[in-house]
Amino acid sequence: MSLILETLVGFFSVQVLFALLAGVAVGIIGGGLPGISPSMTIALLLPISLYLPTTVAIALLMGAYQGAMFGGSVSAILINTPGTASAAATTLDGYKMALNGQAGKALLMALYASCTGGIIGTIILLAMAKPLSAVTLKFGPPEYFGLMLLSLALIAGISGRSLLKGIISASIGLLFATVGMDPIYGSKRFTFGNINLGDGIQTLSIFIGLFALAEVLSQLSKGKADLYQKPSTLTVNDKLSFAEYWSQKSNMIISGVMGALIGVLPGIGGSTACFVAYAEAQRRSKHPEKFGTGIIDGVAAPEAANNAVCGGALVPMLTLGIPGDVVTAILVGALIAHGIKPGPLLFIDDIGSVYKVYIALLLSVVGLLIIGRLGIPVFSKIVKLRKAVLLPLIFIICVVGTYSSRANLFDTMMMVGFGALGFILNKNGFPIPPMVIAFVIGTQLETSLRQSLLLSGNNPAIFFTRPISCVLIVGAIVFAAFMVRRNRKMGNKEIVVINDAGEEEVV
Amino acid sequence: MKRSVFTRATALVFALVLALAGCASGGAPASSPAADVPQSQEAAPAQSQEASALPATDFPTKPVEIVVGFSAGGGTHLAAELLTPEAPNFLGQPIQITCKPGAGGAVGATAVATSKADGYTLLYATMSLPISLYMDSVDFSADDFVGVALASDVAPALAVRADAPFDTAEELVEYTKAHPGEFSWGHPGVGSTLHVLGANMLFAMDIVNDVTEIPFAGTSESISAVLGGHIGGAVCFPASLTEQVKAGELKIIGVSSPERIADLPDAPTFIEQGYNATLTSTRGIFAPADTPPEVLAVLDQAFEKIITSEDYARRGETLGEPPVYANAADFDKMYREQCEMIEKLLKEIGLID
Repeated sequence: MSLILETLVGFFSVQVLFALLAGVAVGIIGGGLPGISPSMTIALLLPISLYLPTTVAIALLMGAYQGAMFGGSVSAILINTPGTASAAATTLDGYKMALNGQAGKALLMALYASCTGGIIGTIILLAMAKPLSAVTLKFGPPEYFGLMLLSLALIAGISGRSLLKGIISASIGLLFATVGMDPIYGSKRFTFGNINLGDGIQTLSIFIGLFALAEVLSQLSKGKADLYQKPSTLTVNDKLSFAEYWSQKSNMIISGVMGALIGVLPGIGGSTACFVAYAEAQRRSKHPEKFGTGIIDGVAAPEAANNAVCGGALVPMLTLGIPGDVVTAILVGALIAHGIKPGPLLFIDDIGSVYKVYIALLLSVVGLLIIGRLGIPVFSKIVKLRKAVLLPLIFIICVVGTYSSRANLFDTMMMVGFGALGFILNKNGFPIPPMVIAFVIGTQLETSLRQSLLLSGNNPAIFFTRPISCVLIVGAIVFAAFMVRRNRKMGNKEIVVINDAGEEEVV
Repeated sequence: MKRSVFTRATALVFALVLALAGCASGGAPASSPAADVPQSQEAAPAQSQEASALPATDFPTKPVEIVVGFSAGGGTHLAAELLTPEAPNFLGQPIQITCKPGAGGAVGATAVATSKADGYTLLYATMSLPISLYMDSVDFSADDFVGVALASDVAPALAVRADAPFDTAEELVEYTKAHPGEFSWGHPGVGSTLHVLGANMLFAMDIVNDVTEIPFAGTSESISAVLGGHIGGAVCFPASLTEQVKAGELKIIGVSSPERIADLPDAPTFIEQGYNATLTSTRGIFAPADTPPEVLAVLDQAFEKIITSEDYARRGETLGEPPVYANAADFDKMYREQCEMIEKLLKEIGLID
């Protein structure tokens, strides 16, 4: 106990607190700019951190980690461009809120949910790091497959009004996920001899194209008058009341716990966690039909989840020395450079360093709250721009963002292609989220399926003889059946739209 | 009116920041060497001291770009960043690292192979360069590059769970011969350096056809699968194994290296157990083949000073990089030999026809 207090006292110096706040600020900016991923932001800070005392360095990096997770939501909400992969789910309701004149409210909700999620993730890390690391190891290829299948089933709920169109959209997403190197044989699939497709289609090109550019195109298609109109956003209530925040408490706690638990598993990543949290919030909700129209529930769920992922991802990193994603891989490097060796011995030999990480993570939530509150009024000015000014800016962001992540113009071209595809799909009532999610999950789903079959000598029984994977797969089937039933019910309300041929059609 | 000015200013700043970010990350976390090390103009490059036979050159007059074919923040990128702090002192110009990841490094290699051969665009490549020559349909050949300097040399190891029923390479061979197909091993992707190095170990033990190979997305996933008992073993670099070995969770069957390595002093090499697997993973700097000899001479001298500097060794140690160096002539020879050997190896272990 005295060691914890001693470590805590070590944090209350000007340098440490400054590093913490600076880390958060850099993180928010890096996370907010598409193409500068959280891992790149932290890679940028790494050389500086090597010259700093250990506590200061840990504060800087943890601050940046939490900051980047929130930063992605800023651009997701304001310009429908997920700044990080983890913020893709936030665009679904966040951007709609901004369109409804509630950008400030959406940003505040995202900030508070991020902070709440950050605390939940840290508590889970604090309380359960050791037992959770044992659970991590229980997850082999068949369990990963079960989990991915369950995620896919849950996410089918976001398919919107037409299950059929949702399934078509998801199938296209799965198809895109097969592009690139075959995960088992290494042969090239659908690359057309183009080396730039060797690693498959870049997630960033898909995200930015389908969300941001498609939205720019559909705004442009609304005609010239709309572009020059002065935005009239000042009439709506743009504040978030405490009652509204409090109404999300169970949503944030459940989403946060889900985010942290998914974060514990190496290699799954924040964007899956956020989509699952979003889909689960919609499934639980009393008014699921309002999701996607711009409600705070749809912002709170993914934002609580993605900051909780931070705490979760640190579990295998600290206890096993196994980084679950690129960010934690860089953090391992930074810790080792400071003489802290993550791994099974860390908790025995060097518990003081573990406390340093815990405290830095917790304090960075406070830092996020402060910097976020200061930044939000500035960020939300963006929505007061006329579209004639804003849309070209977004287009520049799309181009620069997709180029900068791999310094490759091919990714930008792909983004433009996906923008056009997204525009066409939108026009024809095909929902975009199932495609994006299927794409994100597809690679892991296929890889774990085939790894499992390699292990079992092509015997599918492996999925059912192992308890965890069996439960997950059965769960997936139950959820899928539930979704189909609910979709039928919603379908009975008969929403009539005019289709392209000018006929009335029941969707 | 004031409000609208402010709005426009915000928009402008936002756009500027983005444009800057784009440029900055094009030069990837180049960590602005200028900020780390004061630009010392007096320490002019030491060209034309020995290279009297070569025409005089004022190279370099602008920053030199080094392309890394792997993601920013990854091991290869961080190792390449070791070159930047001392560059202004010894090269006379900063080095800028650009990450162009994709296709196991082949995207970055293609960019350098097709760039202007003036010494301002170099490649920092791993053994995946010779591997991609034979395993991928790439648009460059071995002769498109010349070696400039060896910067890193790391030995891979085969690790298994501590409770595995075998302790040595010989026992593993006996076990696999008795239970064909039962021992599964993981590596971070088909055609990755560790895949080829691992296949080489199993080939040397003559059990490559009696084991099951499971590709993973990365080293973390494969170590995690070994610890959880889902697969039998994994081929990794020592940096990701040492803590688990110390904690008694994993044990090392063998290290592919001519001699025992500092990180795992108790782990036997394959060669001392009688299996001929000594292949290690080298990393180094390459230039396009048509780069003028006088420019190459400047680079050769500069990289010798950078890589053998104390600062480089000190920083490299934190990344688990043992101090190694070979000059342009030796490294180029090493590279040609490696190309030949890897083609032969890939054919022998059945990865290519």
